[in-house]
Amino acid sequence: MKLNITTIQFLFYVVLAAGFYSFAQEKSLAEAKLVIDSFSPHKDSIISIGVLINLKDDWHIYWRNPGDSGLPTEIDFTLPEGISVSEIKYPVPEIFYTEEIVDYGYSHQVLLIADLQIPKDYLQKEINISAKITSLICKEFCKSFSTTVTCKLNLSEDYKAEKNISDLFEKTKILLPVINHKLKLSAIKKTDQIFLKLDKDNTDISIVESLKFYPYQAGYFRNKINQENNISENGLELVLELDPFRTNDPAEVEGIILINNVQTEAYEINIPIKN
Amino acid sequence: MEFGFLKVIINKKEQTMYKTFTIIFLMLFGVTGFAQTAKLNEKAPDFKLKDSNGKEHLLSDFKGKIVVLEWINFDCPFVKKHYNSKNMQSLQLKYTKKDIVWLSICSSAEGKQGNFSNDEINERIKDHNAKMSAYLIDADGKVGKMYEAKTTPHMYIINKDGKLVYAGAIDDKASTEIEDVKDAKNYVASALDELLEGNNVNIQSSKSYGCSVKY
Repeated sequence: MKLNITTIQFLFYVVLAAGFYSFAQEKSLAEAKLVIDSFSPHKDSIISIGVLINLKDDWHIYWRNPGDSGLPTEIDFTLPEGISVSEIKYPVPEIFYTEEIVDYGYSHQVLLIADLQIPKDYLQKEINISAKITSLICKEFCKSFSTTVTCKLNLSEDYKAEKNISDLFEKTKILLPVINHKLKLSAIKKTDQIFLKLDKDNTDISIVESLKFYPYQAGYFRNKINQENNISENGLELVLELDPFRTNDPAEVEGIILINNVQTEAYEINIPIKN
Repeated sequence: MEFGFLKVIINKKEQTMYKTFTIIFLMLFGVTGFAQTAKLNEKAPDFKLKDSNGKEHLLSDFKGKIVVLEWINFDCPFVKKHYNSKNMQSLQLKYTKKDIVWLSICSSAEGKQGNFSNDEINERIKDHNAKMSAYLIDADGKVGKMYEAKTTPHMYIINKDGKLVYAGAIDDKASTEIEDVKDAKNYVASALDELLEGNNVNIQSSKSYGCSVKY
């Protein structure tokens, strides 16, 4: 077969296009951007900022505690001097599991929110913000995910976020675990188990049929899909198994509990463990 | 006739009972002859696996030697970090020279990431200039589950008495970045040095990090 210049050129472009297509596919497994909720600089000293991550179908990234495998999704902000940012507020994660492995994370889309604190006497009118996101993106296999996103913020006038972005902030805030609550809980350690007890005289909630616990720190508790709940006259007891390879015993049960397996009924807890 | 008929029924019942007992006995002690779960400071569960050259290895064959178990999946970004930086090979070379047995175990099921033909495994070992004592294939995941291996890499160390004395991460930098290797505290190297000096292992466990084992 004779190959003339045109054919070679054509093949070259096909190979180039295929390479570019493959690169683009790789890139689009997850896309991130910085988004800001509406604010009025004359009234608000706190601005809601978020990293919006859109993931390709079937892929997921990880929660602050990835679970048995994976990496936590972390965000490192670079801000102008004088402006500070709160810790990331992670919404209640989904569970990804196989027979042996239980992980916590997010699929499709997630907004990770933080609060920007602007001093009242802040003089600069326009600021640049950047955020480095590091995570791991997985389905049946994993790829590193690291990207830096930037945005400009005008502090001299009111900012109105697009409706879909405002809605997303609102929707995500509902999925954040409640921090200030009056749930009465206690935790007792017996051999390799922790018994987390929810007192029946809890005023914040009406009917509690089950509890589920997601730990903030990896390595202390066995990550389990089905967690044992015992109902007694005095309340409800959740049995947590300690990880057999833990470095030491946890001093607290720290994480979130889900009531009745409902994502919008999540509460942050930090309960000291009694022996 | 009635008694005879009854006897037949009893015999059938007895037979069923014996069969049930036999099945339960086999399930508990026969089929899963090696089945225990690994626990720190207890005897490491024994296993038998074939390597990438078809040779069988029993853990108990290495009695009296320090053994490292490394869960591996060459395509996992965390494993790539430690092989592309030559970190894993350096550890393998350094400690196998000191008569330590280094077994890399792949529990990727057929069709899953990391499950390769023997030829491909051997090619990858050659390309990476890997120095493990053997690359063992655990495609049904029995050994991985016995040791509760969750990630690749996931490291275990067995002392000369056959006791499990370390389980966890290779180091303290949970990332896929090659640059992190040089500043990381390597738990495996520390534990092996302590054992070689005749001491106990100071840090016996850590949270392993990596891709999930592809059971």
